[in-house]
Amino acid sequence: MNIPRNTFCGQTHRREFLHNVGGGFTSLALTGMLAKDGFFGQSAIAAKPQPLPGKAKSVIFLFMYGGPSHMDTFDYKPELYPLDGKTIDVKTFGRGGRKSKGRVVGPKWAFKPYGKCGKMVSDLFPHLGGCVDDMAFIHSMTADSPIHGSAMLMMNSGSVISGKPSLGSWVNYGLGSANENLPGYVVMLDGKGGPISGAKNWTSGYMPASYQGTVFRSQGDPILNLQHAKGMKANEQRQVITSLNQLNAQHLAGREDNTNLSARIASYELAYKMQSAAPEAIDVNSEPQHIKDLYGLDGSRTDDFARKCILARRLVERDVRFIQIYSGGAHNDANWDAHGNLEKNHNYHAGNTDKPIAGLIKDLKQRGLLDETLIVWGGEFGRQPTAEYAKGTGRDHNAYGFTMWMAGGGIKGGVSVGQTDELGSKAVDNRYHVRNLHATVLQLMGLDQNNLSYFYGGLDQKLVGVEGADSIHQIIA
Amino acid sequence: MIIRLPNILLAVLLCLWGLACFPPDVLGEDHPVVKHPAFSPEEVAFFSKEVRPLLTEHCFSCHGGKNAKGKIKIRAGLQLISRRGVLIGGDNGPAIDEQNPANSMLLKMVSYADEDHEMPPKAKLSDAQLATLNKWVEMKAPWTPGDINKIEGTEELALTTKVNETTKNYWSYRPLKTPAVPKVADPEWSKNPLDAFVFARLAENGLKPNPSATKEELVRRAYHNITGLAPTPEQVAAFVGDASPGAWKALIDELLESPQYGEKWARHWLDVVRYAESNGFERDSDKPHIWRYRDWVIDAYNNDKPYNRFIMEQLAGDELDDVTPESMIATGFFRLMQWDDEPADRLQHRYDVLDDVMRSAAEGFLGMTIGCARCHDHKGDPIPQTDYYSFMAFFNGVTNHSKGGGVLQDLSKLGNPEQRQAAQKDRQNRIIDLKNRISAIEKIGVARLGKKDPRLAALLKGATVPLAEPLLVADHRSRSQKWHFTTDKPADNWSEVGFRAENAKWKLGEAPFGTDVPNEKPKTEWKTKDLWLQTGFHLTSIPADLKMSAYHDEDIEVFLNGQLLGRRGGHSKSYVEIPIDKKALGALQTGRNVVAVHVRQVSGGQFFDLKLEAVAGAPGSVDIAKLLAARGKEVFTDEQMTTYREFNNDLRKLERVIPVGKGQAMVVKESGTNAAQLHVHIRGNANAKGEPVQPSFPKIFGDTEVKIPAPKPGQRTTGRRRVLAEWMTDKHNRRSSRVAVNRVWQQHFGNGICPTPSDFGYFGMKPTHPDLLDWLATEFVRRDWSVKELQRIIMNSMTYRMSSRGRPEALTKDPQNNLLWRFNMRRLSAEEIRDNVLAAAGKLNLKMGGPSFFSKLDEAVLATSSTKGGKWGNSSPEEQSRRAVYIKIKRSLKDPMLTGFDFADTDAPCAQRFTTTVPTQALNMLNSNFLNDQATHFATRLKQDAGENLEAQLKRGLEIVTARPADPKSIAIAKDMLQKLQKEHGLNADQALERFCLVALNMNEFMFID
Repeated sequence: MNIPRNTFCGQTHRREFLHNVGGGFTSLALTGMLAKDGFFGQSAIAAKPQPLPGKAKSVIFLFMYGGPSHMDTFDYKPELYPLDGKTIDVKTFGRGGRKSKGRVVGPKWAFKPYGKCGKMVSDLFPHLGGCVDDMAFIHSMTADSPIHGSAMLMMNSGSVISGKPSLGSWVNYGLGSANENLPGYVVMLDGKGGPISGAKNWTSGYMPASYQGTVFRSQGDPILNLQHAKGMKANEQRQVITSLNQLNAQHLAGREDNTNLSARIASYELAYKMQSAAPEAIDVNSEPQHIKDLYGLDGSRTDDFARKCILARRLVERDVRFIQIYSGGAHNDANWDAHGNLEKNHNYHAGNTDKPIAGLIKDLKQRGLLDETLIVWGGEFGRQPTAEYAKGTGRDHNAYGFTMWMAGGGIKGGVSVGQTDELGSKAVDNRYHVRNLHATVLQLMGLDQNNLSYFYGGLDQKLVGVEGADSIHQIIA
Repeated sequence: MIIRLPNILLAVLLCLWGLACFPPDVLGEDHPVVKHPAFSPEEVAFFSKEVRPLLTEHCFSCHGGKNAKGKIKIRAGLQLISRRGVLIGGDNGPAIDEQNPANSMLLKMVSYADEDHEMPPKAKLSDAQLATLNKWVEMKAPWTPGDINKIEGTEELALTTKVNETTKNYWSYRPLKTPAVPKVADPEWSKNPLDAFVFARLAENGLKPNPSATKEELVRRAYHNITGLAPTPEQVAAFVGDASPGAWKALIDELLESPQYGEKWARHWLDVVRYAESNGFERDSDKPHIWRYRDWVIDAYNNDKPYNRFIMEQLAGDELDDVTPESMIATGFFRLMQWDDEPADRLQHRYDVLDDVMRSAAEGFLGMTIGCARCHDHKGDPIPQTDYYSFMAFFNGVTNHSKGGGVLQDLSKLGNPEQRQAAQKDRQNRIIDLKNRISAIEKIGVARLGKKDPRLAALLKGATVPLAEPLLVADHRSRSQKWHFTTDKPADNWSEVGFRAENAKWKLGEAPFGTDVPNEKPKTEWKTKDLWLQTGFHLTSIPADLKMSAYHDEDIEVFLNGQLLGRRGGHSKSYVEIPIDKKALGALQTGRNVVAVHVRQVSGGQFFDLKLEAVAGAPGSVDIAKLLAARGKEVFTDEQMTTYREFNNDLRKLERVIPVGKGQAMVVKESGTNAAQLHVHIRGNANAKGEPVQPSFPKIFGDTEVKIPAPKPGQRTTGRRRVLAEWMTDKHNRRSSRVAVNRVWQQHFGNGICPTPSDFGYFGMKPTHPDLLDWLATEFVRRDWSVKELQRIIMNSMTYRMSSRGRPEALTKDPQNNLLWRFNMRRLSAEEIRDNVLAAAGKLNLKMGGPSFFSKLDEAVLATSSTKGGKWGNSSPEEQSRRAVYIKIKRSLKDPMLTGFDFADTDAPCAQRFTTTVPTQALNMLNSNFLNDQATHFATRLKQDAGENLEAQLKRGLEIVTARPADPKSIAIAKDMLQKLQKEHGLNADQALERFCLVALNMNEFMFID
């Protein structure tokens, strides 16, 4: 059997070169520049066209790390309130293991209807309530693990075992990068710290490192090493690169067929440009006052998340493909992991993020960008209807059923699909797995989730698993 | 790693190929023929009206055989499109049970009784629908006659996935034979059979090989390839100036004996076994002592451990007849993988971990992607699912991983104590003897060189010849140490030289003192509140400095000849360095010196053990060993230099041997001579047991019967892994030697002869030179699996010495150089970049082995961790200047200097690294603290090396980074830059020189090897 394959690293064949350089961070720019410089006979790869019609051009994944409680946020369970304090039979599986009964913690917030669709939303999200006609809720999410470490990996890379590329890597692998001066996959972390497993959550796994997420800080230097460690000024650096180019040109003579050499020369020019492009992209302070007000960039508790949401919008405007923002970091109550005082925990995290996220939806909408920007909201799992401990309101993890929502980018607004049982303990109707969520994101981005594959370890690996997965068609416009 | 074509294209190609080879009626032939009872028209009508619509709506999106677009929908192997399909069933067995309809799998699935098997997955069917299905199954599943036997074919690849004569004859599945060496016209290319194979393939295709590379290119290629470090300008000059015919061969021999060889080549293997030092997941806890495995690999290369033994020790180092500390350490192979201490499903995770280990072994040693057969038969290779589980059965005795304890082995418990002591003593004597001999040669060499070179003589005045025995007071890890001690308060002058403890009737005891503490046991019991100790040492010359470390519980004060040398309060949990009070150094004297210690117990455990070492030479003084290595030829004969080198090599090896009776290692363990019965896991689900399996080798390699020997008395394992390892290391094994030589070839030429080094199967690529690969493999086995011998054959070939330059006609015919008409240029690896930056700056610390160090990470990088500071440690600047192979590898937090330059992923075997080019690399090389700090050191070095003359500095700088004489044009470019930086940007001369150094370290010529 002789199937043509791609070639390997370290060689100088054009296609291989494009593959190695290609796809990830600014690859388009590199190859584009080389094409302009005549290194290639024909126009090199542009951002890859979407294989299927997809409305979304960018994704903003708002990751509520720790696992928000669905029955206290968007999954209204009227029958749960009167059961508060009663011990009932219910199967649960969380950090504390498998249990068959527990003491119900009634939802701690009242719900009320919003919008034309009349969606019931808890008092945790008064601002988001105003956006429900643009949002689609999936109340029947399930995942493979109720433990943070493996569940985080699952939500980000489709597997409870690490080493697989994350969703943002797949999107960039499938579509290429559309901005030559910025990374195609940006991750913004909570000020409290990174999530469990750190960089594993935005890894490119077995794909080249050029597809991995780049951590962006919303203040100071956005990218590692963007500023010279000892304060070299831009014009001085220009001189340094010019001299380096002269030396490299000498070396290139007689070795022109090795395109890796020219690519490396070009990468210095791009690095130089990035140093002005990236700070410009994060200059959130230049936004007008009414925009700052819309997001809650006002020095109050919403300030930090508002800054990140505005920055996300600015990155979308600059064609960044995939942006992930973490609400919550580190461990325990520094994220949504409400094992102790549920009210305190969720009031804190929802209060920090409600207005900024609503601001983001409204701002994208008024700019006409919401149609091509897919927003995904949710955590790695939900929470149990019962208390974790003998006392208190803390809820343990729940991967049997939880809620996520999406908005924009080809999503049908004002709809809710699937449901959990009357307690919220597990999904019972129209159940969807994380793989279906990933499938939906890929499809809305114009990728065929069941054909987007990468050959590794003897298998055509796919984000949604080798057997493929359907998207959640009810929420697609 | 491999990048493949997009799947769509691959699928199209597969289809075309499949259709071209198989007439359509052959498709599906594999499925069994089934018999159907006669059904009444009413029964068939019931099916058509009630059941078929239900199946179509709720089942066909996954089990519909083929959808409207022609896509195969046979999830879990089940197609519900005919009665035949229903009876054949899927991975969970037939969908209905004709004998006992109520027991049908289909009904179990739709009933939602078992939470792991609920169908359809989206939601439970209504009660009415369930009743319909129940009724239909009761009726034994009637079907319309027209499509009762319809089946969609999925057997396009049957020809490659069945064990048969065709697949057994595939290049990598057939037995090894020594191929005939082709006769070629060119006499130069006829001497080494390797060259004849390459030349013949080129000639067949009308191509000629490139001429030899220049001597400068060759010496740089060889140094980088073997040691991962560039040659110094002096080493380049020595080789270029050596016109003797044996110069190249001698250089290869010398480099293969360099200790840096093992550090470079070990890393290639560490990629394959996804080496990391933490477990990953939520806590990402440490794998204690696992660094010994890394050192074991380095030693294996340096000592040219035969490759068959290399396999044996890793897979079964605990089951050998001669179990040694080294062979136990090698079994750390079983502990390198990611591991979740809190998995959602413990049983499943046990097998996820075993799968991970087994894939590393099968891909690493056999080039076999056996992992694909975990859930179903392999889709491309003749590996049925049962072969996967029979292979796994060799490993099923292995205990679950843990954070420590259960998977650690106290190395001192191995072997017989008398032998250990005798070996220890013998080793110490040999070390002292060798040090004395080396020291004598160095004294003579230094004296002779000093006479020839007055500048050197002046420098040498400050140099100290290393002490023969720097260990002044030993802790028990180094050797036995006795102390006089008392628990009664002694006289006031107890710490002074004049105080004779033996006269004061202090007792004599062997260190350590105290009670049991974490990881250590005392040799002399001490349970009272205070302990006073005294010991002594003799000096013939005064060392420049002292270094002290101790394990203490609790407060200690140490005196040297009555002066306070150091103190530390509280207790340590391991051996910690104790800073020396430099004032006390003045108390050192030739002859007798006394160390006196007071230890004070407060609460809990109590313990004391101390080490004091002499440090020779002042900082910045001449390194005699380096001096003699570079210029020894001027004052000694070749034979004398060889002897000197051998002494040094022997000494290094002796010192590197892990001292018996010290420390712990993370090892493989089994729970007894029996392993639990393993079953096939249906669809890879550990909770769904299929047929039972016994250990056996993959059937494609023949029917060798597996005989597990009966357990010997005292045996604590199943003995299964040894049987597997013996099969793998049999000289007739069809994969081990082929895979091994291909990996070695890959690291010399950039690509393997088989370009998919971990996949020799049908999904891999075919070898470009199959006969050459087989010739090398048989030659390798014939030479007792010696990797260094193989490398000598390779590096002494014409093929290895070709120029890397392009030739238009060859580029047209073979742009990818598959036929090897030239040598492949390559970029430095991540580790090589860091190591060579440090080497250019004159800062590289060649200290070998031991626990990993923490490189300095930016705050922004540490902030990505979920724990404050990422549990990342601090290491001294000296430690941080060690080679990158010693950087701590923590799964959740990695040094961007490594990951940014395509460091291997640590969660899956990496057969070949990527070489990406992205602007963030340029940002790192231009802007990072590391590069700019090293540029500053580099500038300082240039001023030292080349004096005040700017042109000499620039020339020296360029020669260090390019390993060739500097050309005038490059010097002119550099000069021009310096002038502009000073005139136009206001830099002073020193700053400008630092910028030049930064540019030099960024040059393509520094980053790429011809």
